[in-house]
Amino acid sequence: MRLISFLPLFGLISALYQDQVGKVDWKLDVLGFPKLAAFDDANAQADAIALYTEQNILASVSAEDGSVFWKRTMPVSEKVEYLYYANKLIISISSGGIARYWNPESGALFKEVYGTLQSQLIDCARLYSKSIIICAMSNESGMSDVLVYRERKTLFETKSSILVEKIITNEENNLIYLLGKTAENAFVMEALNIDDFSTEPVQILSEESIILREFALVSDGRLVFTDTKAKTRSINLKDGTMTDISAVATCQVITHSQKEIKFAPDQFFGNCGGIVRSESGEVLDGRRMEIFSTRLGTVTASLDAQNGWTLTGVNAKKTASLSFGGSLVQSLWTKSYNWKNKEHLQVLAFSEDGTLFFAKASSEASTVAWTREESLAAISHVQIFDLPPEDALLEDPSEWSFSRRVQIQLALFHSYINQLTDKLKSGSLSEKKNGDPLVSTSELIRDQFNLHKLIFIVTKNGNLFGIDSLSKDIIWKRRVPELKECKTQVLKDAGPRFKSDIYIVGNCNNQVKYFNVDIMSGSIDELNNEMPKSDILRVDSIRSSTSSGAPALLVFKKVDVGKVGLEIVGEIDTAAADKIERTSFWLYDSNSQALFGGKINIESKTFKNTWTFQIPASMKVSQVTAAPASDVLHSQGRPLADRSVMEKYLNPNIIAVLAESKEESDLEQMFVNAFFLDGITGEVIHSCNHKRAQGPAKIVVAENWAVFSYWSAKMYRTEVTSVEFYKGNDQGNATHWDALSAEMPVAIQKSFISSEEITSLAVTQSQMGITNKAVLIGTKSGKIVSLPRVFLDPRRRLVPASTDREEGIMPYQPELRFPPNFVLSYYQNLGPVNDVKVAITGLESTCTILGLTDTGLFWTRVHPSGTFDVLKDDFDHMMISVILIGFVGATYACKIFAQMKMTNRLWQ
Amino acid sequence: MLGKLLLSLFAFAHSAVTVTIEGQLSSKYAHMDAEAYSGVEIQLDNGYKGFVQSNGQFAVHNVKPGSYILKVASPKLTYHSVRVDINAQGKIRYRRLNILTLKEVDPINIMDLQPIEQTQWFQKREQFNVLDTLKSPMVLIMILPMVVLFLLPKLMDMQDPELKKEMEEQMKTMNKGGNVPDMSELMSSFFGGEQPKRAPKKGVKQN
Repeated sequence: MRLISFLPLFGLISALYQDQVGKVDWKLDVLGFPKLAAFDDANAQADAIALYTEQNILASVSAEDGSVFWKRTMPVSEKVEYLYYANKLIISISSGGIARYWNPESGALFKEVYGTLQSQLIDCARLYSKSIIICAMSNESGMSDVLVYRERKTLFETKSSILVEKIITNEENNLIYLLGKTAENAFVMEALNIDDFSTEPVQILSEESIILREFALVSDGRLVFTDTKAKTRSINLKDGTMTDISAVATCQVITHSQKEIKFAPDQFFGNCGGIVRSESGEVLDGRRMEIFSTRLGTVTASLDAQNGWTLTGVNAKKTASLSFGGSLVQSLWTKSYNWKNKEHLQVLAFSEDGTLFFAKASSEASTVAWTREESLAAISHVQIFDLPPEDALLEDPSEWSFSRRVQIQLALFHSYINQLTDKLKSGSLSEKKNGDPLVSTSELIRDQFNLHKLIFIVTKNGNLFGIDSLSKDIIWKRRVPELKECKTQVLKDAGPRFKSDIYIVGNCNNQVKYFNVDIMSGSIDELNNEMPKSDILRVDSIRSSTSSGAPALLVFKKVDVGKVGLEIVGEIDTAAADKIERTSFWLYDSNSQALFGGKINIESKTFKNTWTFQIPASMKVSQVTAAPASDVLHSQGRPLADRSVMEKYLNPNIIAVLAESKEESDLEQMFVNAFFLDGITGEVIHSCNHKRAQGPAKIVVAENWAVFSYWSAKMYRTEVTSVEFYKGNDQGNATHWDALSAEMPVAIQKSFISSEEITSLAVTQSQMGITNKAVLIGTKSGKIVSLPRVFLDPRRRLVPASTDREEGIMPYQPELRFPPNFVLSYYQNLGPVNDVKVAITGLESTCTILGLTDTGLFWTRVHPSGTFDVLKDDFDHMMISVILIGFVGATYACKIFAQMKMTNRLWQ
Repeated sequence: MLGKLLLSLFAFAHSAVTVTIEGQLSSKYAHMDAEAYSGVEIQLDNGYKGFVQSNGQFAVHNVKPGSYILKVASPKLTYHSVRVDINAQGKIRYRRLNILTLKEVDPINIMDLQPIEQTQWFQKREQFNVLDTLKSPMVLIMILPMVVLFLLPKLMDMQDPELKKEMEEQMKTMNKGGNVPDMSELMSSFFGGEQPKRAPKKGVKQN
């Protein structure tokens, strides 16, 4: 409460206004790689599609445009095993036998049903005609519990006398069979009464143990299955006789990944290495084939020569051809429905490159309606790029002649007029702008405040994306399979003004891949240099002034334990070599947990190691970080109340290492250590140890301070420690930082208790460093919080001194609360935030941030000190103009009245 | 009996006991709306979580013994966090979260979790309001002297001839000293082209 009352002092907290929602921020929902999908059972076009993905996300997607209606990250302790969509409800059944009924469009949980004992789920089957789902669970006695989920009624639980392995439902005669084994390992079948769910006597099918693998129900009452011994057999469900039909077809019986029953009109299909045969041995198709059971019947899809799919509907007359981008389709789901006496198909396909396709097909036309890029769920690298300015501004203004200046001004005026006429023609001039009010044009050129950016993403499966930060549209996508599972690094080569070449270096299974990317168009060229192949620790690029083309690469690699080697790819001229030889390098080897520092020699291609910092094997390194290269420090000291100045420790080479103990169970042995090193000398300038603490530990370094978080295992809470480094009161006169003669800093440190579990830490940046810093905290609960750094000031005192107020130091409060208006992501639940990327804009007050989660991206702006350099977006231009015009009018009116008065007076 | 005991002991040793945390959100703000709890999640540490049904009930399944913080993540309302302690026997204790200490026990009813307030995610826009302008100190500085000038003389007893005389005298001295210019003249002298001649007499009323 005391803290809250202190808040007005820091009236610079800039929270979002409600009407700004969606204008300056956006969220890109990613679902992940689909495992299960379900279409509406009804004989009509599906509006929503239920999806469950490998990222443990359950979602409902609009069939219209692929937008996400809702998504829910499921608890870690359960996986969705079965997914159904019937009677306007999405039903998910999780591993513990927990059934949830969701509203497909709003995502409201209608009800959640679970048994008294949540043991392992064995199998589920659905009986459409009765709208029930039957599931078998294992129980302690070794037999099975049978759960019957009824839509509008309570859960029915009963016990089976066998250990159920498979449940088979027969829609035509409403029968449920439980197949499994008895305590004596005999293969048995038990029928379930549909009305009262009582079990009928057990039929022994075989004395030997048979474990079903895949099965199909043939409409003549036979159940055909393969077992774990690769034998194919059939059971007559009416009398329980089992026959071995391996002689007929020794193939795998085709089943759907969702374990539903396949209906084949009167026979089953066998799949032998991709070749589908019917029962009689006739080859149906020489290629990959998928068979789907829908409510109306069986739909087949077969792969044709051009990687397209030929679909055959239920009535097997009309076929439709669809192509899904040429990439190999991993899974396919389909739905058939009748509309205007015609059969229509809806197809969902997931291809190997991580794209989800949705297509509509009928006898007349088949088109891909929408696609979703799901590979964005696994991102390996993200970088935010400034857009290039208009062509006219690419030249250096200092070289302009007068006529050139006039030309450029005319060109800019011309482009402005063009934009205006375009708006006039399209009629969008008078329309209220939906997007960011500060960004004047939606074209891909640098705007006035440099707020419009391009987000470059490399995914783990080797896709490259260019995303427009204004509209969240994917501008381009490229597939570079060579970058799959690579540690990628983006090198920006300082080329001519504003135009820099972008190079991607991938460290892929210890092989360096080198690409040149045009960031605006996404065109990619692989540079086929002789690349080193061994343990690569770090790659840097060197531009020589004499050579054109790709810059040379410095590849640091591990030669031996504790020894670093150097390889150079490309040419380096003497001027560049001279400069680079004077530069100190540091690198981190994550395998041996060691940091190395030193200088390089270009001629002998060696790395002269001057210091090594070895983290003991008993510790696990959580993070190694340094202040961002773009970090600018504005003020060199902190004025105190006695008018003296406390000088900041301005070392630009601080490396922070955060390590935790490997201890998992013994509380007393757990700890988290933070080491702060000088990057030139390798000297430890400060270290702190937190006992009874463990990961997840995160750290952020900026200016002369660092903030790190860890889990206090003893107190069951997340704690945050803030450290600041000061030199003392002596004002230095140095123009540059000298690491060799620098004295040890004075570290001030304070710890706080965080009310949220922290998953990532970042810091805001600005062009000049004038704006106050805010620490960007990504929480496990799916929020991004912008916390002004005054809250993390280590000089906050428990008993405040009278001078604290003058210096702007709040009294110390152990608990660090995150008020809701500090939450940049407001009421949205983003899911655990893995990382927050920050980009500097042309406005000193503002920086843009990109939050990364497993389930999407979140983009917004932050003003840590308020928007002091730009008019507020609610600035009332209308009111100001009306008042101004009013005053001018009133003045003239006064003049007229005065003249009239004068004339009257003179008349007297 | 002994077997059962042994079995349960065996279960503890492997911490196979898992519990389901069941609770209910107070329907105070829900107005029995089926969508009221859409998007509300019950979050526990270590990724355990539950979803809220349309009647406000929730369940977090398969939770292992330990101490957890239960949070209600709601887009609209703020709830108290709950410290959940589950012992090896699967017994659950709920208490209001006090992040500063583990010892304090402030029980909370998990079957009726009350929201504290509506969450203020946003800043309020400043809107033009007549009352606000009146509160402004500048306006007060202007209005108070007016009150003194116009209202105070009226409050005084005007029937008293002595006072009246005194006041009149005062007014006379004031008028002598201050040549308060006419507003319209001031304006016209500022904006008008020519400097108008000052009227011989001032404050003459026209008919």
